[in-house]
Amino acid sequence: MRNPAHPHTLRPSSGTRTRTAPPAFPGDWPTANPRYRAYLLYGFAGLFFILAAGVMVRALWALGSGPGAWETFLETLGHPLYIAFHVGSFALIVWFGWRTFFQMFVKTQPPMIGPFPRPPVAVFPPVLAAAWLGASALLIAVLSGAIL
Amino acid sequence: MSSEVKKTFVVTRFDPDRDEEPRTDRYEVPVQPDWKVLDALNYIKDEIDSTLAHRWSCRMAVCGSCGMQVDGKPKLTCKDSLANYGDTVTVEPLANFPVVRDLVVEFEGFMEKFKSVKPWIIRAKERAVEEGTHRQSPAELEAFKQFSMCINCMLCYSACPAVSNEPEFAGPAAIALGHRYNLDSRDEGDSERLAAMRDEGFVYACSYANECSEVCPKNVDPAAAVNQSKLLATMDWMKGLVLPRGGK
Amino acid sequence: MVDVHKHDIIIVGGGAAGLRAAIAAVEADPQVSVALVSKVYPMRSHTVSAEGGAAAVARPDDSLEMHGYDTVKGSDFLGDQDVIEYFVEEAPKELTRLEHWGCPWSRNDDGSVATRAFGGMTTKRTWYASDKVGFHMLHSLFQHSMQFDRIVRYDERFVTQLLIEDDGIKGVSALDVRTGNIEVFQARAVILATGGGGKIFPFTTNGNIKTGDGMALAYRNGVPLKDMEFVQYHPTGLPGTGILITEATRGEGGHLINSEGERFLVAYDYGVGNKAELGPRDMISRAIIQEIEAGRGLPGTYGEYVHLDLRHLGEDKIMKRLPFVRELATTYVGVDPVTTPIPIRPVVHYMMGGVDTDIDGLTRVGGLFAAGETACVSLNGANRLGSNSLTECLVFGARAGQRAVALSKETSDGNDVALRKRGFEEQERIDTLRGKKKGGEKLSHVRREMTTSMERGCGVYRTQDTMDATVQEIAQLKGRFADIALQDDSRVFNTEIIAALELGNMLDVAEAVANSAAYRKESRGAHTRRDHPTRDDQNYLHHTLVHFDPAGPRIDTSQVRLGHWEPEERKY
Repeated sequence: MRNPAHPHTLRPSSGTRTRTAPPAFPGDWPTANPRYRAYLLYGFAGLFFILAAGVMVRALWALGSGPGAWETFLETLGHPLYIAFHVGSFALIVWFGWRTFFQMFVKTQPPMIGPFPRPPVAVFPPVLAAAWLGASALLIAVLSGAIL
Repeated sequence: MSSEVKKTFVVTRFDPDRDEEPRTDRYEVPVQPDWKVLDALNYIKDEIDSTLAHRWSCRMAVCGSCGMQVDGKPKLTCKDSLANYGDTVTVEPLANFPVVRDLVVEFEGFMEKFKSVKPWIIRAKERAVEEGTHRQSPAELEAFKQFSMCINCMLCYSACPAVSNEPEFAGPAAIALGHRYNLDSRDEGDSERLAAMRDEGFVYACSYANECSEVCPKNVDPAAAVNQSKLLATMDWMKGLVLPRGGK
Repeated sequence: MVDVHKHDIIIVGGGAAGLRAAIAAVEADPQVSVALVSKVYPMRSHTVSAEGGAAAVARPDDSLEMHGYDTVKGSDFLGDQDVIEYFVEEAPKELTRLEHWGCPWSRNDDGSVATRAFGGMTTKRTWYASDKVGFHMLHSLFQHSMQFDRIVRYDERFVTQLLIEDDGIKGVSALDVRTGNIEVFQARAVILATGGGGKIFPFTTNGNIKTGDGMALAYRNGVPLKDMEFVQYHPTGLPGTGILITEATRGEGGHLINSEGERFLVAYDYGVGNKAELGPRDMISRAIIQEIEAGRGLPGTYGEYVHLDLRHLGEDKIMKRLPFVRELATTYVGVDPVTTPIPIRPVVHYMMGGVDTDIDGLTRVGGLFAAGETACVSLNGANRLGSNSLTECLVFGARAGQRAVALSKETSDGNDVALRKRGFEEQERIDTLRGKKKGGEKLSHVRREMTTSMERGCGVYRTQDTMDATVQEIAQLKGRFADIALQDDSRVFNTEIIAALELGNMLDVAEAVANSAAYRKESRGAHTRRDHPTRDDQNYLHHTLVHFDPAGPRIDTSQVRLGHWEPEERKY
């Protein structure tokens, strides 16, 4: 089974010199390998983040509409669907961050980062992990009221 | 030899003079334990059906001619051992390419993309032979060497989801080659190349599936080249905004 | 309808020699129009498979004199010394040019180009890019060539005929593999750069495309082939596939080991003396065969072999200098050289002989040049030194390109009508052959019998009887070839008809090799006879020329151009 690709895929600008069969890709895409599934989920995560952003807009709106509206909004957050949504979003953003920074980020670094040559690949994971832990600790400290 | 086993090969056939669209033929081949997929295709060609068309030459994984889809995955067939497969093996032309005949794909579209990255040393002033070779430290060589290892086998184009959807995307191998010259200490053409790379879709169509690097038989890591090029092309553009004469 | 393409120069073949010739031509005259006609996309050319390096004097402890002497001695004094002197002088310039064009040569710590030791070379003068030198050279040349709009590529065109008029060559006809149509290419100079014909042997490092096409084209058109009996066996090929394991393995310090675990080049006298593994290829190939015949080989599925041991080099050095060797050994024989010795045996690698040319690459047909392995400009004589051939492609490719430009200005175009007519005739011939179902012979079987016969008659060791038998067998196979059946009648990408045309070429080349070998009753370089074990300068210090004749080949000779270096016993 083959799925059609875009009909102009890898077509010479002056057309083909003999009749060709159109470009295709395997019919079992994207289930063929786990990497494709991860790639699709990574793209799909964007939708989740839009929804999460929608919740934030709603929170701001409630905040601007007075204490009653804010209380009502906080109550709705206790709904099992909301909780499930937030647990899911949290899991997804953790995975998204891990994939972005620990899997993809390293390779995308240019040969010179500012005035410094790119450090060896092995340097990245510990530095990234430290940055992540530091940022998380800061966030928790702020949210818990320990600082600011 | 006694240790031979039989495998069935399901091979894509397409003759534009006869076939409306690709079809398949099945061949039963006595396979030796040390055979690669290409050995079986050559057996079919020599002993069973001499009308089968496929490209191959060096059979040592360096000329880049014999890329095909084997059981749905892009493979260099001279390097891909038959021991990795079951009793039935599907061999198709590379995905994402127009098919010329049987297992032969249209290569001209790629050749245009290849040339569009200006894959040659660009210098303001050419160095004379009498001046001798450039000095290039082992570290400067290391900076681009990996991206110079591409054999143009096209497996990356077959694996790439962006290639199949965005015809203006230059694709992994071509961009890796342009990047190779951008990183070469002897070259001065990077802003010229990066300007070309800012064309619509040229590098930015990449959505970083990373499949090109997964299937590359030479560990070129084109995904790294493409994504570094995105960044360099963008930074070069911003530099042009801030310093209109490119900072010169 | 036959398409006609008009250019000033046609180059047939897109490997190192062809590409260098094309670049040299447009450098010599930016207005010149060059057609680069190749049966494959240029990056598929077999230059890509060369591994170890390219030779040129680079170090202060080296000299042109030393490179020259090494080459003359390596050639067993059959190389033309004016050619060799020109070669060693141009070699550093050519490799420097390639450096300017982006070739990623490996470097010393100070940023200068690194060199390594190679067989038969007195000092380190082999430039390298780890162990993929041919690959990097080919891709650098090809990519550099793409900036010249005056080089027009015609990829996947198979040249079927040279179009020669009274005053010289006026073009070629080529089969467009893609469409099945014959095209006529018109020009005033043609350079053949189609490589060698290792595929006339069953066990070879050569890729599928190495079918001696240019040699056969010239041979059938009145140009003799020179020194064709000298076929180089590379000492280290993988059993079964024949995949090349580079001589750089020995240059970097690898050892050859027999079944007793001995370094036999040191333990026994094979004439290589202290050089041991750094001896020249002909001598080491013979040593391996003798070890096997003495019962000190190891048994394997594809015949007996010996070991190439790299373990003592260590993983770091192997990964830095010989990563491709590790990849090849792991992929094709399942052996990691870091921990296990590699099984190897001598394998057909290179043809010292080729189209007879002068120092410009010009043949005796006006306007027809040859360069690279296709040609025999007489650099390599009876045995080529490893790493001289990549440089040869550059030096003599460039010279042929420059001379072709000059010559194209002095000659006139061919007759349009007559050339077009020749194109029609070729189209008719191809159309008749394509899908010619009548015939009792199978192409692949005739090809296999040819290769088997060549190995039997023209292997490392030769005798009059076996060579004569091969001469007979090749003549018979040519008869049977006329009766092959072809199944594929499609026009588009018909690889069967290409294979048939290639087999026709290979049979002509095989004929030339076998007849030249049977003629030379001495042992010199790669031509080693059990029945005439010594060199005979009295009677055979000359080139062998073989002329095509439908009735059977005719042998002739020409003088070796000696000079600076007198022939002496060849001992290392």
